[in-house]
Amino acid sequence: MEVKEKKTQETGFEMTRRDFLKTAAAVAAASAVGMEVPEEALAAATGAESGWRWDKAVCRFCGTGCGIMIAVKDDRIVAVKGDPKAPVNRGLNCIKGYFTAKIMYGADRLTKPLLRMNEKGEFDKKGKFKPVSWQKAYEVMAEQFKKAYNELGPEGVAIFGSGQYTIMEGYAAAKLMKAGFRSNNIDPNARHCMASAVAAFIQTYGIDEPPGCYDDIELTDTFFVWGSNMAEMHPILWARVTDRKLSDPERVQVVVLSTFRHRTMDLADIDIVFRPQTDLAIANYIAREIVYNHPEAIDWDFVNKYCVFTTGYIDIGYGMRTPDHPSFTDKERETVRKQVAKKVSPLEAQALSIYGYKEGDTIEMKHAKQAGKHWIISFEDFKKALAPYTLDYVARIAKGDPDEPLEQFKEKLKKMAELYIDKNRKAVTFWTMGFNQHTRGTWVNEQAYMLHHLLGKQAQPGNGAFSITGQPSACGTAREVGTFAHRLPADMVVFNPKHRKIAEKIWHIPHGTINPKVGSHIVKIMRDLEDGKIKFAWVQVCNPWQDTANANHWIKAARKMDNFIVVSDSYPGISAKVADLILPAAMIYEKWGAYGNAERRTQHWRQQVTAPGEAMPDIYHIVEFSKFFKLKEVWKEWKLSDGTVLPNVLDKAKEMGYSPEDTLFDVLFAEKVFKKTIPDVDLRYPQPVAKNPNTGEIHPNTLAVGDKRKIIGVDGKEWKGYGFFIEKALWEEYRLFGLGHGHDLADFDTYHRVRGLRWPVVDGKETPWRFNADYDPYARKEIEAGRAPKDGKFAFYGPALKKLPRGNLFDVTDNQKVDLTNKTKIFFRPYMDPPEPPDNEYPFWLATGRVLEHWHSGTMTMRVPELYRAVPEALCYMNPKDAEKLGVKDNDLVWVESRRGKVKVRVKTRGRNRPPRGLVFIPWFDERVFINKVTLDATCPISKQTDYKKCAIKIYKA
Amino acid sequence: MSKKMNRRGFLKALPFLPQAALEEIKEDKPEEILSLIRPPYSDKNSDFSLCSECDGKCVQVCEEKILFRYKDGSPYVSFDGKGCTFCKKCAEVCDFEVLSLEKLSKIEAIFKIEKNKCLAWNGTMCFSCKEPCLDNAIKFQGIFYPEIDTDLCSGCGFCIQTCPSQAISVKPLEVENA
Repeated sequence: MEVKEKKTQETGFEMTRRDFLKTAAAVAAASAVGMEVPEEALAAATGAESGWRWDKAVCRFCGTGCGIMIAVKDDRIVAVKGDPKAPVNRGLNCIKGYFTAKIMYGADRLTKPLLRMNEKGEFDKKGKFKPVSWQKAYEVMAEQFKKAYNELGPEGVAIFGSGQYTIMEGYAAAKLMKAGFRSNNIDPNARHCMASAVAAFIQTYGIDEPPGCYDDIELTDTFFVWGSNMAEMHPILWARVTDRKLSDPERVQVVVLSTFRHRTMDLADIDIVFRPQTDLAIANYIAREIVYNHPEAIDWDFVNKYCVFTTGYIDIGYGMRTPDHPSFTDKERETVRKQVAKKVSPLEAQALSIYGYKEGDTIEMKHAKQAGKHWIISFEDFKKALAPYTLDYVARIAKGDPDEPLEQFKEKLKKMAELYIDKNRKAVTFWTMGFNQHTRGTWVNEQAYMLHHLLGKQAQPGNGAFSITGQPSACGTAREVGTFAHRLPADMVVFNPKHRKIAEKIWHIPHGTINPKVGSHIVKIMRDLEDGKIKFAWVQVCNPWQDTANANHWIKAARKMDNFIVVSDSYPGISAKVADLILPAAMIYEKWGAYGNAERRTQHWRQQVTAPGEAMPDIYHIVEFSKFFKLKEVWKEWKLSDGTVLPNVLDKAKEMGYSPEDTLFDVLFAEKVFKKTIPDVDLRYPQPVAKNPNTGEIHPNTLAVGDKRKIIGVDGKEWKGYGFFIEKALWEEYRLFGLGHGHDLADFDTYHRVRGLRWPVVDGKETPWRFNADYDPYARKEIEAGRAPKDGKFAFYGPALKKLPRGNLFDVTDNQKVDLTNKTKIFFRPYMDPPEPPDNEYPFWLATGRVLEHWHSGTMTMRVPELYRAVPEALCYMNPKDAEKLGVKDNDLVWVESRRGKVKVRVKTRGRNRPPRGLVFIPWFDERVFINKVTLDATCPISKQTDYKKCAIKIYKA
Repeated sequence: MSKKMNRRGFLKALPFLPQAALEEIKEDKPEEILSLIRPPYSDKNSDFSLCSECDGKCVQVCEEKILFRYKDGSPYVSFDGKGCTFCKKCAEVCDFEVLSLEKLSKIEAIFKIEKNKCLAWNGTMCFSCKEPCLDNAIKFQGIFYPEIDTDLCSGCGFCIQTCPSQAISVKPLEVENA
């Protein structure tokens, strides 16, 4: 393509093949962390490495899950390199991964508990932070917790969890909350990152996480990248895509869709800049092309055997609070009122005509509380619903660059549809936050499956719609362990009585202990703090006061309301600054851990070094807290705010051999607990797996046996460890949840012999492609048992939401439930506007996101001098014509202001991101450019994930 | 640094010329003057000996504060965490046509990526240097192996400080050719 040639030259990424993955891996040299590397030093590297203890580990940034090798000398990490044996990254690394160990050595590491106190040394919400002992910290914390808990019950306390928890940490936190405190108010920052992907997986497949795996990259010939700047956010996966593209530049085609130009577009054969939210319309255009103009492309065998057509309500609101909430300003109410009702816009009119709406009509949001409900429709209804999405209509509403000719845009849409449709092509669709952070995020995820299912291009090598995750263990911890307000481990949910029973049995706790009512999701925890419904909140491995949209509300709630905020962290981020108590946390390689990546690969690492000061692993924070609560305080009767009664289970507990005077530690985390739940597992420390495979040295384990620091612990005595291998114990107990029903994980020791395994791991074998009998033993079992078509090779065995009523495009018409065992779904979802498009007063779209060099809120990477030097501040990426119109030039400061707040930021018109006129992109890593004061906390009503990509702003010179 | 180096070699090996290094220069040997990076809007015909009669207006007007005076009064560039925006002011104030808008709007220097130091030459995905390069002079093979296209490079110098591993070095053209 001619256009393409020109673009490549402009961007400087040359397209000559050089087999660069192989070469790069070969020369991947270990470079000393924190040292200059002159030529001589490199040459002498072999000599210098003497005395280094190398071990495998996992990178803690992004969901790719790269393997790294870590070298330790004198209890300090001295080098990091890409692990050549790691199948994910094959020795490659990105710049964050390269500096991953350096995040541990920032000058302002938190090393002591810090409490806000008055002059007399008492806790005082208005006091200043002063160092205290672990003992004092926990006394105050327990007192404050009990105050909130006794006043408001299990609904009055909450944990902000994380997709960066190790699996064992997340498991311990979930166990303490759900089995101990009987509260479901634990929700991870992963809610902001992939909840829409989860909701779509559950709605479509009845089981979470992708069918396919990264191997698809080398096996496909067509990539569709929607709403994902993989080149910066998942660089190693992008390296593999690039390698694939360059291996056969003519055959391999790459289509990139985004609301602005970015690095990922440099490689694209087709680059589509679309108007925010119209991905919904573009997907339906492709579906319309298939159904109306290329019906021969439909894989009817696949569709008839394995799929039903489904749809749901459209009047579901935008996950906002209602406008009568007292904390809203009038300006905010202009947007929030759409939660109740909205007018059909000129852009939506044609799409919504199938529901009988025309421009200017009012849609009352009557089904906001049943947003996830869906039912079976006929193919004829499905076809009818697609009718409005003609090329003319979709191109008109979806063209995102006002300076691109309409005909050129149409041409690109057509070419893209042809690539999907081509029977001689395989197709991989990747997406991340552009899809997930979306007020119709679940819908747009489901549309990706719709296309792949119609074409029969799913769950096969080289064919698959694949949701990439943002965080290193969003899958492994947040999703698989279930540190969500509605979840239990292994895809179970609190509102299912059978699931509660299974969990109670594994945990050896009385039947009826687990609270059946879904707790507050992460945005709602903030809202509940503001409303005084939650009065104790504990932040673990995340930074919610910087991460949550519409931040002014939450900062005020933390500082002005009567509540107690605890932050376990390693550096003082914004959340720590608004807290009442800060607990110093050990960082990734200062503890044993495990993460699960986006392709279901679980990877473990050993503790490599000792944490500084008095910092302790999060498991210690969680487990020590359990010692402050007696069963009689938590397992008594509770009345919840909606009238639900949690029964007194103390009598049952007695029957099980527990005393009301036992602590939660005694029944949840003590060694004797694991002797009951996992009697055959060796929990001594050290044991063979603790030995370094190269040197034979025993790795440290602060939790099991204490360490050289001899810190004074929560009980006021020298910390000597729990006396057993608690990380292994938590792992092995957690593993019980998944065995035998499609979530099987291997035992602890196995993961220290391999470079990760993709679950389900059955008979020691991993599963690269699920639902496909060629690779997945569970699919084979279903077919052999006659529960899936014998003459096919698929079984979509996920169990959730597999009994549906029938209906039409509007609603259910026949309540008789249809059994969908081993089937999947093809959803129709319409185009609808986002709640806050630009207008005359706020004429720009604001999209937020990340940059390659910095991780999330920047608390770690901004402390690495090299990464700081590379990108020292967040910039406002803007179209040069907009800058000219505003009378600003590069590096000028501007105010970016929405209905909710404003920040000052420097303008960049020729940077890595090139937005079209009318849109700006501002990354959120920089706490000095606190962009979440500006963003809108509207969410997908199904997944409750915030849309950080779309709100309206005005910009003026500062 | 174990390798034996003479002063020329030492200067060459520096990623840029910090002022301290230049202050050490006591004698006025021709090759040391050659090792200075000259401002933009100058060329071989620029007669820097005229600068001794000027009070260094160009140095004073430099927005980015990257111009300094050598002891003979002539201006030189030191990219200490900054770079040239080609704002033209140094040329506009020059009364002696040493710097002149007629001449190249380019800093005559050779920027090089040291392969041993560069992360992207060593299997680590990094393209920090691309961001500030408005000339698109830094070319990657695929996503690795960046090299600076000297024909496109304007010598603005902003890439030097962005590089996380300090792999970008700059030398004056004459030294490079010598």
